[in-house]
Amino acid sequence: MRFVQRNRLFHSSYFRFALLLTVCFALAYLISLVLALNMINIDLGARVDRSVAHQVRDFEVLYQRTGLEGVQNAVEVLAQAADPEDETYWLGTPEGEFIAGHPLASWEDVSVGNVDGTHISGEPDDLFHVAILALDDYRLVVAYSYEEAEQIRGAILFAFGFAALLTVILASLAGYILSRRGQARMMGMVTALDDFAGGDMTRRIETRVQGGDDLHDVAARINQALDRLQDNVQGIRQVSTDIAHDMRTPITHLGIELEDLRTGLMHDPSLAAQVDAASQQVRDIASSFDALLSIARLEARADPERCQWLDLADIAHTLYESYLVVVDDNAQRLTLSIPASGPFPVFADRDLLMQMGVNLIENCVRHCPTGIEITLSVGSHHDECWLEVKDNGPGIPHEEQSNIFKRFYRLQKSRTSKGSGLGMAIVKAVADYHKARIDVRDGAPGLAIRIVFNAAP
Amino acid sequence: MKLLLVEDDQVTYDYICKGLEAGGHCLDVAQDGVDGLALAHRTAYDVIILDRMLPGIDGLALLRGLRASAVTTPIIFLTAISGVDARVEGIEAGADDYLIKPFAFSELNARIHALARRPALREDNSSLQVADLHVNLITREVTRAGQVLDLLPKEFALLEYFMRSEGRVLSKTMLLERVWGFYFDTQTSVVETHISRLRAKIDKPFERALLHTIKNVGYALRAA
Repeated sequence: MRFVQRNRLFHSSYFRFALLLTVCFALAYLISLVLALNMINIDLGARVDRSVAHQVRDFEVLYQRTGLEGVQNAVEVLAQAADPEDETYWLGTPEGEFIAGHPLASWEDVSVGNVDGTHISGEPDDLFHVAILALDDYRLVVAYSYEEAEQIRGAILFAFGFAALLTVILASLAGYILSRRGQARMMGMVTALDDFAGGDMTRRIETRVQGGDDLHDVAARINQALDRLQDNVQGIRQVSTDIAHDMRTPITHLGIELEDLRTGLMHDPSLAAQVDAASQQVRDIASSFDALLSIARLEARADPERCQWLDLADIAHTLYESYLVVVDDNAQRLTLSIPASGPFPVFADRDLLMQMGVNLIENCVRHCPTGIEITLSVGSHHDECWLEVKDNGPGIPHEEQSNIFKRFYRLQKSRTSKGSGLGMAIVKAVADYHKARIDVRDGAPGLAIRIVFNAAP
Repeated sequence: MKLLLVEDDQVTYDYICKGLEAGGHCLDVAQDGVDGLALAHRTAYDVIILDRMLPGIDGLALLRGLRASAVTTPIIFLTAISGVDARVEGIEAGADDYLIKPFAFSELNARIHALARRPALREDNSSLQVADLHVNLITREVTRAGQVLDLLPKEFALLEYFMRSEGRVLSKTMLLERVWGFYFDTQTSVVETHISRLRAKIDKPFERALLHTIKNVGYALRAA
C-alpha cells in the first residue's frame, strides 16, 4: 500500500519539480554555507592572531616604559586573572627558565605561529596562536587559544545546519502539499478523460474561470476537442440511424416486390430461379450494408460498451464446436489447441468476439483448398492473451498481408469468389474496438492471424 | 390466432397483412403508435408485431409503455437497424423477439408461431421424446428405437432445441441465433451442415424421417 502511494507521488510532475527545486536550493544553500563558514573561520582565526599581536605590542610599550619589572608585574596580574587554557603568558629566560606567568608544558616545542596545546597547557585538544617577544635577555610568550573561535564556529555551524535542515523540511513539505493540489487537478483531468473514453460522452474537465493558469488553458482546449468529438460521434449515430432507416426501406420494398413476383411465377421454374437470384442479391446488398454500418459504429464507439470478463479458451471452444462439421464438410480439418496454463481472461464483448472468430475461420475455409488444416489456438504471454487462427494453405504474399483488413479487399486471384470482402474489415474493427493488436505471420506454409489482447482493461 | 400489427410503412404493411390473413389469422392493424397503444390495451392478442420507427409514439417507447402497464402479450419488434446493441435494446425494453428488415414473410411467420406457443413449452427438464427418438437431458444420451446415437455437442444442442419446439417450423436465422448465439451473418452454411449431419445420425438409419425441410422457410422436427 505504502509502496504504491510513494510510487504515485513520484509520478506527479509537480512533485518532481518541487523536489528538484528543493534539491537545487539545498545544494546552493550548502555551498554558501560552506563558503560562509570558511570566511568566518578565517575571520575568527584572524581575530585571535590580532589579539595576540596587540597584546605583544602593549607589552613592548610597557617594557620601554617600565622595564622588566613592569612587564613582570603585568604578566603576574594577567596570569592570575586568565585561564591558562584560554590565555597563557610566560616570562622567562631564553634557556627556558620560568620567571613569571603560566608554566609551559614543553618550552622547547613552543615556537611562533600555531602550536598544539600539548606543548602549552598540556591539553591536546586546543590549538594556540603563539607570539614570542624578545625583551633583551628575556623572552615573553603570549599564547591565545583558538578554542573560543572553535566554539563560535561550532555554534554558527549548528545554527546554519539547523536552519538548512528546517528549510529543506519546510520546502519539501510545501512541495508535497503544492504537488498534491497540482496532482489533484491532474487526476481530475485524467479521470474525466477516462470517463469520456469509457463511453460517457458528456464528461468534461472541470475548470474554474478564476486563477486561469496554463493548466486551465490545456483543460479548456481538451474540453473543446471533446465537444467536437461528441458532436462527431452523435453525428455518426444519427447518420447511421438515418441511413439504416431511409436506405433500408427501398431494399426492403425491393425484397417484398421480388417475393410477390416469385409467388406469381410459381408455374415457371426458370423465371422463378432468376427471381430467386435477384432476391439473393438483395440479401447480399442488405448484408454488405449491415457490415459497413457495424464497422462505422464500432470505429465511432457509437454504441454503449457491453464488455465483460471472458475466457478466450471458452470462445475458442465454442467456435471449434460450431465449425467442426462445417470445415469437415469442406474436406478440411479443424483442430483446437488450448494450453493447460489457462485461464485466458480478456475484458470484451462476447458477440463481437464470436463474430470476429467466425470471420477468421470462414476466411480460411473460403480461401484454402481442400485437405488444408486450420488450427484454432489460444495462449498468453506476460499480461497479454491471444486467439489465433492458422492455416497451412497457400498463404498470402508478404506485401499483401497488411491489405487484407481493408474494406472490400480481395486478393487478385480470388476476385470472383463469394463473400462481401468485409469479413476481415470487421475483424480489424472488432480488434481495434478492444484495443487489441493483430499479428499476421507467415505460416510457412500458410497464414497465421493472431489477435492479441492486453489483459488489463 | 389474434394478432396486432403496428406498422406505418404501406408496402411492408400490405405484405405482412396479405401473408397473415392468408394464414387464417385474425388481424388488427394500427398505422401509428397512439392507435397501436390503444388497441393493445383494449384487446388481448396472441402476438403483437411492432415496428420500431413509428409516427406518434416511437416504437421503443410504445414497447416500454406496454410492458409498464402489465401487458404480457409476446411482442416481435421489426426494425431496419441491425447490430447487437439495437437488438439488446429492444429485448431490454421488453420485446420477446426481434426481426431485421428486409425479412422474408416465412421468417416472420415462423417466429410468430414460436412466440404464440411459448407458454405451452414443456417444463420437464430431464428428458424429451418425439416418436421413438428419446433424449435424456441428464445423461446427455440420445437413443432411437433403443439404439444409442453418438452426437457431437452442437448436434445435441440443435436436436434439443428442435425437440423442445416439436412440430414448429424453425428458420435458419432462428436456429443460428438460438442454438449458436450468432446474431450476425455467416457466409458459410453452419446450419445446413449441422442439419444434414444430424439427419444422417437420427433419420437415415431408420425408417421414418423426423427432421423435415420446409422449402424457403426452415426445418421442423415432427413425427408426421
